[in-house]
Amino acid sequence: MPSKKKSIKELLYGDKPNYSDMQMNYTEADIIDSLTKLTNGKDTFMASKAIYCLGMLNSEKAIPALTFATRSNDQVLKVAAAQALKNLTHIPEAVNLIKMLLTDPDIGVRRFALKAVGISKLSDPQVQEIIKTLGGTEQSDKMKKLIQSVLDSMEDGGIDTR
Amino acid sequence: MKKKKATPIVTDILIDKALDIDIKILTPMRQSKIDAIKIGTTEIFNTAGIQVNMTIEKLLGPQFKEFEFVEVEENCPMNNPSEDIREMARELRNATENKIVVFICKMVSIVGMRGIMGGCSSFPDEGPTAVIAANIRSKYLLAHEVAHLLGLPHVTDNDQLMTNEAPDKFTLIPPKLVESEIERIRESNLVSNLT
Repeated sequence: MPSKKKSIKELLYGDKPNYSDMQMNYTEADIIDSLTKLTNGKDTFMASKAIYCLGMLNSEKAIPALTFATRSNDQVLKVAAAQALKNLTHIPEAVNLIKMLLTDPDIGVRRFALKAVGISKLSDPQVQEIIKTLGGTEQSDKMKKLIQSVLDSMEDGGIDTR
Repeated sequence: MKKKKATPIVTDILIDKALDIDIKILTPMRQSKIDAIKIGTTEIFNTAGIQVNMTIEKLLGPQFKEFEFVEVEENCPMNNPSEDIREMARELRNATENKIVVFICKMVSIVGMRGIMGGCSSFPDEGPTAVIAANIRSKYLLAHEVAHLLGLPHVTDNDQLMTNEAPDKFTLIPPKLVESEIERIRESNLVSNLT
């Protein structure tokens, strides 16, 4: 008996989304539609996974849902957006969203936005300026260290954001 | 998938062991959610004859904000905790090295932004430590992570607490511990005899 096709939601179960199965069984439009619905759902754990997965699409079509997440009042969705945006820094709108996250009032959101810059090896002069400004205002040693390593990577390329 | 309800336990189980768990909450949570986690955890370990003694502490000041979002190593290797976990254990555990401490955070993700997880358990130098995400709907995830610290590996049966697809796919409520798992956790040096 053929096994039942897993829903897009089911393919998000586990630590990493099963994106290859998603691509094999669904169109990009179906994937974006389902993930966007989950992004708006009450279950913020599944929403964060859906947002993360939107980053794997490598498509401008993910931007509206990531804009929603970046502008939400929920830090979990914002951090998930930062994780997704690291894969989309070739899209100018994605870089603008990262800039918003870098200046977020929440330290956790700023930390993950910094990591997104480091991991993506984004070298945008405006982003660099924002990070330099952050370097002067952040109080925590951990954040200062991360800022310095991201700034170094923007000059050298490559970073270990751990 | 519709979840099955377990057959109610008819016979009384002798509770002759005890397990101490310190829970440290790093993000605002509804009391009803905290109560549900306590009930879910107790429910699971009572089936193994283990009484659960929990203390709950809220760490919600600005000095704790940096610990709300935690990164863990992929697959949560027990003896190789992430830098975030080591730091949390160093700075926030405040417990003896044979005491289980569970931190409830806003989000648990894999180092290098490689995925989002429900929870993770490991043994930093300071002692057995787990983290779980506060937005997980299942009340059994804390028990799942604690059971890892007591020596249980993942299984593939979604009726069981230790399914590797936890917390999303428990197909039995409450999820079960099988006999061999019960034997193993009762032998853990983190579980004591009730006098």
